Amino acid sequence: MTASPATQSPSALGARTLAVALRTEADGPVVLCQPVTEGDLFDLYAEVWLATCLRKGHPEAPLDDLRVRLVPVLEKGHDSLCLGLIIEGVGPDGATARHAFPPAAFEEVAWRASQELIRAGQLKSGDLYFYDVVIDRRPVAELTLARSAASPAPFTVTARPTPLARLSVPLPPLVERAEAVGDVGEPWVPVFFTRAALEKAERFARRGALAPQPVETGCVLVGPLCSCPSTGEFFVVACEAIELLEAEGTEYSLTYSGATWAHVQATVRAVQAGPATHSYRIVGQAHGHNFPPHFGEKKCGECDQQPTCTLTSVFPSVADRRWTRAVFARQPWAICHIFGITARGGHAQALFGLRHGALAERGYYVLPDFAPPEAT
Amino acid sequence: MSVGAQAAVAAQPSAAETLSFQATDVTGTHSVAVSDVQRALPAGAVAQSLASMMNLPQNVPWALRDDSTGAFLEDAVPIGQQLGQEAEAKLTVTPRTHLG
Repeated sequence: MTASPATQSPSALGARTLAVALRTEADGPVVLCQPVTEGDLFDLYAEVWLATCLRKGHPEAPLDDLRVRLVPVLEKGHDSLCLGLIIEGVGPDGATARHAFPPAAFEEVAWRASQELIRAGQLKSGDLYFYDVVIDRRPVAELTLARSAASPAPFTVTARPTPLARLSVPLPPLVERAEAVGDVGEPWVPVFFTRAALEKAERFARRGALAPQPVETGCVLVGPLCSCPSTGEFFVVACEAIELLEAEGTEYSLTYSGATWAHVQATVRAVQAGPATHSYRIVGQAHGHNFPPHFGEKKCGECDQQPTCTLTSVFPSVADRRWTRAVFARQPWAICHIFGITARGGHAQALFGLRHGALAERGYYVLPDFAPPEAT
Repeated sequence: MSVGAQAAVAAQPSAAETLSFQATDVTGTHSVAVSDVQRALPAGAVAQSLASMMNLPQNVPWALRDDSTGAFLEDAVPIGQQLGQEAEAKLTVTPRTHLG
């Protein structure tokens, strides 16, 4: 069983519990208080791990060893309503860093609460709901007992931790050779594509647009995680794109089948068989939103006056966010590249990465090529 | 020796009623050894419990894929029927969800 990062005791939360309070009307009463579980916080811990350990020259430090402290940020004049959550992480060198997460980082907890309300008949699928992050004042013992009763362990699971495979690669020479696309500055971990991988990713993502009835298609992105020996910076290089074979694409969805995953994993294993590429891994995915923006909405009223069209189908959908959390659990370096179209019919694309517990648009570098050194 | 003292002992399944396997997530980042799995448990229930014990997100359904065939195990069918007498199967814990 995977251990959780050590929470310093006493935490600023003390014996209280963080929860998401759900309303069915913006100003209505709270209808359900859903506890935030330790599992809900793992991706947030992973972001802190990335900033506190991986990007500080300690790529060998496992997430499980990260010491964290949770500090709720209370709304002024309230004793339970939170503006967000600060997670303080202590790196291997003893330095403490604080990372703030807004309520949006808890959207999956709110979604879980909404599913309970749908099952109870208090909410219908498609209804709007509203949520706040709060400190739950119910007795902790009550919550602890409820959770224990709900999750007996039916078998034994023993973690087999392996060090994070990465390459030692000087970063400055790569940046000098690369072309920057979009915002590549802080707070983002550098991401590089080789030009060949980026072109392949776009071709695979847009292949579905050529179908008589356009569908979503895509690929996984493969390459090494790297640590710079001089700056300590951690970064990602995507240097291969593996097309999704036998995936089930529709106009608005893309499902990996068993055969798709089998092909992807066999291809990755073949890449890992090479002496210089044995640390290569799946670092992200790309797919095409091959549908008009806003599901077929016409052009903007001011279209003729705009030099470029900003109405596009490029956005991380709820399904994209949920898929990324599931596939790349506790992998804060994961990337999601979406290729779409504009209202004028032109091409648009953007890269998204994990930031504040959500997928946010970010920049990247394009390299002419990448030659991996021997793995560390 | 005191007479009448009783000790409560939970019945344990025999080794023949349980199986072991190795499991990883789809990216190969998280690996675990799984043991004492009752053969009669449906594969879908094993997948969901295993995902929880591996601290994988619980807002999506999970399934098990056999690495030797690439195929998903049938959720409703006992895991023991599907893995047979394999010495130590290698399975991938796979989310049953889609991009949008």
